[in-house]
Amino acid sequence: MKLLAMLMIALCCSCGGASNVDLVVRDATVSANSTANTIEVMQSLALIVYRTEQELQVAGAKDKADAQARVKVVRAMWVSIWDAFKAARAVYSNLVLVLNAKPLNTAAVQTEVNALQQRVTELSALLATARSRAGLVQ
Amino acid sequence: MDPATAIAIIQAIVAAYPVVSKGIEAIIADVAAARGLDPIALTKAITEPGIAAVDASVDAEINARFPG
Repeated sequence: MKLLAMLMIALCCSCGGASNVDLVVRDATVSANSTANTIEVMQSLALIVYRTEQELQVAGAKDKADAQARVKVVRAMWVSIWDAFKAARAVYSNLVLVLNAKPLNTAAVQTEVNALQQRVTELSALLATARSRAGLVQ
Repeated sequence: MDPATAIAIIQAIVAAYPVVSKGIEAIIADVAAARGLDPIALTKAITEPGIAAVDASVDAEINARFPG
C-alpha cells in the first residue's frame, strides 16, 4: 500500500508537478488505503474480543441454559459495535465513490475522508471498552 | 490459552471473511485500480465480519461442555 502511494507521488512528480486535484486525490487515496487496513485489523481484533467475552461467560455458567443466556447478553452488547463497523464500511464505500466521480468534487472527498477518520476513532473507543470488559487490556 | 482454543480462534478469524463473488471482486478490482486503492484491503474492509462464524463456534463449545 505504501508502494502504491509512493508510485502515485512519483507519477505526479514525473509529469511536471501535481495539480491541486491530484494532491487531493493522492492524499485521499493514501488515507483510504490506510483506513481500510485499520478497519481490517480492528475487525480481526473485534472478533477475538467478541469470542473471548463469550468464552468467559461460558466458563462461568452453571448449565447449558445459563451459558446460552450469558452469551446472549454478550451478543446483545456487541450489536452497537457491529453497527459501527457497518457505518465505517459505508463511509469507506462513499469515499471510493466520490474518488471515482467525474468531475471530482474535492470538497466531497475531504468530507468523506473526515467522516471515515471520525468513524475509525469511534470504533477504536468502542473496541477499547470491549477489550477492557473482556480483561484484554491494552 | 490452550492450543485448541487458539486454533479455534484462528479458525474463526479465517472464517470471518465470507467468500465474495467473483463478479463483486472484479468490480472492486476495477475500482481499486482506477484510483490506486489496495484491492485486498478494499475487499476486506467492505466484507462483513464473521460474527455468525464466531457465534456458531461458541454455540458448539456450549454443546460440547453441556451435552444433552
